[in-house]
Amino acid sequence: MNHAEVRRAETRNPEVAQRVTDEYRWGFVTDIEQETVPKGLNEDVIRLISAKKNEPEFMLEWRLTAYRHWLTLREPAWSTVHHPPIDYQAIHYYAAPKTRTQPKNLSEVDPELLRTYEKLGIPLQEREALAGVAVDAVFDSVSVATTFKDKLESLGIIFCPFSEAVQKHSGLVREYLGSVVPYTDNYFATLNSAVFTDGSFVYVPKGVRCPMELSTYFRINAKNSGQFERTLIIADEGASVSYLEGCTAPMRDENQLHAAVVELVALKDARIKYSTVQNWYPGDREGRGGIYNFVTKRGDCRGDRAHISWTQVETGSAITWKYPSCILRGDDSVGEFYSVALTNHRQQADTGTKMIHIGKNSRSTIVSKGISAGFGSNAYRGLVKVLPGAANARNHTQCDSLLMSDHCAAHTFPYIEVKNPTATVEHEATTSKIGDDQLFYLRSRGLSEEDAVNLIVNGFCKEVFKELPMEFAVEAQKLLAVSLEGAIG
Amino acid sequence: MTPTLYRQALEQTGGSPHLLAAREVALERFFSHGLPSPRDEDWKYTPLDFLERAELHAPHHTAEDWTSEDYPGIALKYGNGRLTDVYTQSIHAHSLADRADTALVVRYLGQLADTFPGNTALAEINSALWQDGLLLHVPAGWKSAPLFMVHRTSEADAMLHLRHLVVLEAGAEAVLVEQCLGAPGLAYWHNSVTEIVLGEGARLTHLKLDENSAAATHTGLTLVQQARDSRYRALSLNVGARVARHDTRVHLDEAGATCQLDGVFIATGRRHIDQHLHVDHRAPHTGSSQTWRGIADGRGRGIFDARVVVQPGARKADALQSSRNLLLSPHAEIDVKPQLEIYTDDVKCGHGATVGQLDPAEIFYLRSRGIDADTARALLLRGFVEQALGLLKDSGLADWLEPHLAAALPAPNKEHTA
Repeated sequence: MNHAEVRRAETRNPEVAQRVTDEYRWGFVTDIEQETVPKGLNEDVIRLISAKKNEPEFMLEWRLTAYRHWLTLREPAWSTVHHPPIDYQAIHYYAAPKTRTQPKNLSEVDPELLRTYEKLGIPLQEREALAGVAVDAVFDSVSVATTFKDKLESLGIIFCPFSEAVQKHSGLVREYLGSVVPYTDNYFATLNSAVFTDGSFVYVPKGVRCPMELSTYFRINAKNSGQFERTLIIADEGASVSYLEGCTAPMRDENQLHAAVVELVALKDARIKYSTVQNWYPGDREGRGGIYNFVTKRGDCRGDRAHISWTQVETGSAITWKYPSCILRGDDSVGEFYSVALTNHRQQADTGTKMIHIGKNSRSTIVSKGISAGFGSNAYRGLVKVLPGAANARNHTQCDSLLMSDHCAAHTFPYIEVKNPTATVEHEATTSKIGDDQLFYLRSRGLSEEDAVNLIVNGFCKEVFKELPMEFAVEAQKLLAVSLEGAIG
Repeated sequence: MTPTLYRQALEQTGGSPHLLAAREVALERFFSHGLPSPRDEDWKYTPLDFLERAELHAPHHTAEDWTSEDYPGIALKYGNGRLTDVYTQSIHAHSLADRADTALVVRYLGQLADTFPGNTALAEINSALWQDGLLLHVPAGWKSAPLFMVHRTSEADAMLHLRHLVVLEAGAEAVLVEQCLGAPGLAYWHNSVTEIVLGEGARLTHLKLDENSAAATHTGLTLVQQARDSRYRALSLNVGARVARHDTRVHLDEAGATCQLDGVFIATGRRHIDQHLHVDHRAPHTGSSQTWRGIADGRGRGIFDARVVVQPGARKADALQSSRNLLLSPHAEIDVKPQLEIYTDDVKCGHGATVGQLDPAEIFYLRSRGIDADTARALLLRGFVEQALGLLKDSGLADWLEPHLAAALPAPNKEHTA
């Protein structure tokens, strides 16, 4: 919406217009001392990051190989997102809250930082046992604190910052790092492989069901910094784990780059559920500022009957470019993708999934709900591929778009490739708007226009929200309501 | 194909100095692009690198006498890319080469090919090398008799570039049937570009039957521009060629324009059949529908790629895509890409796509009623294809098409009768 249109909206509906002033409640900046490496990217910066992390030699080698490969790549241009060229030399590739020593427990963590997380509403203190969520909080580039560590340790579950895993569990890291998303995968994943600074590492041993939801909260705080985290989750045979991820960033006029990589490995009979509520700063109404979110997420159902489920609610970021995917290698393996992506103002999202059916009787479900408002652009891009060996593979895809203004855009780009005659693949898509009759019905029953819209939008997204863990589902609904403020009018 | 070979073909074409100059320009543009590569997203599934390696020439012989079937209308027969029977009865249809210098052709030829976005090098090489084609011009308010345009190729390694121009003025009506045939086993490349301009309220029914030889390459591009309240209805039966690529692009430029792009592809043997549809809703109150049924058997591969774009301001656009496909063999492949690109909110758009096999329960049902497995399978396949043939109902062409359809459906094989 441009200013003139906002004014028009104001005259029509003062109540709505008042709320149009898009609030991003997570837009504060935490004033703490930062330790950053100089802007720019070269082999020395990578060596420095690796040295700061005190990494073993193999990690440095891996980073450098990735960097050299990255130099040969060009930024992909096939998606529907448009942005001015990113200056990769103007980014700080490492920014960390300055601490004298590594904190041993929460009392040693900078209180300013803890207050930030409090503002964000993350149950960081262990007294939040009620919430029952083990949190690994990543502030800019380094992991700040991981709660509930002891309880998890007693079950043999490893849940720690990636940098710690590199030190303590280098065998596992070496075995699995890059085994799902190799460093050659794509431009942004390659960049991440070269410069990633931290992230979460989870290993659930054979037959263990993780008793609580594991959670990471990402926050970009430092100016001109990029965040490149890397998450690796391994569920050994028969294990199961549910993992939550949330993200925020301060309001800034410049665009910040976020290029994360998430790798999931599910062995025989294992089950991983990965939920994301992504609320990076989306930029202002005119599209100034905001996070460029270029993320590579992929899960590998490596054993029979493995199960990987992605659920995402994407309301933030100026640009969202992510395709959480499943490689259904094991027989009877299952992949799921549930997504709500909302774009308002000048936000752009190009998101979807890939389901690669390799194993027999592998099944996948895709439910994608796109909501476009303002000048937002929302694209679903997905691939369902059934290889010749995937007998009786099944896929059902449902992609729905809800359009809320005459300037927004909604696209559906599904790819279906089937090489096995016993497979069944179904794809359905619809595009609709919020009907005047629906609005009128709700308003005549005393609901405000905002509430009516929220009710309809929540109904539209219900199939996805029900896949989210409770607390997240509530948060997601609130987020959606906030993000849509002023979308109607 | 070396530049020299294309140049030689250019020397065999003709036309006025004006046309020759245009041909030169188009050839240079083609050279600057080259043939589309699989890196081009639009050509991902259909590589044309084999054409690069081929050595093809413009046909030397015009026509041979060939027996043909009866056509329920006026037939224009093209042998090796040239109109052979110059004594046709139609007052609306002509050889494009003969009429190349008329004001009408000068005005319209290339208008769509040069302006539609996303056109490929194949249109450019056609603009450079076209030998002949159809000019169908129906003046305002006239109705043309059903017209059959029949192409037959009998020369090996020939490269045929056909260019057709269809102009229907306000309120005009026509039925055009296009059939491509080739001598069995013959390798050649048939590249056609059809430009169709529909005036206000004009109506065109367009039946396209690709029965090229199993060693041939067919690339066809159909461009349609529609004015207010015009209607374009197309039915494609793509059952021929070794490698076939059919592109249809429709611009619904004014309110009330509607198009229906239906079709069937049957990729048996080693056929590779790729169809791309692109409908651009550029005005309010426009409608489009696509109903396609595809079958891949043997080592066949079928590709269905359809994109509907609703431009900003094209309110009340109505678009429906349906693509259902059957995969009958473990070596066959089906790739489907139904796409929607929507830039306004007040629209009704949807698509559905499926890939699967014949339902064993349906076969069982028929067998339990005493129908043998082969017949049951044939019945089900015929019924499956029938869903895309709605357009035939009131066209008067159903009886003529039936044997062609029957011949194209996959023959029973032991694997399925077991």
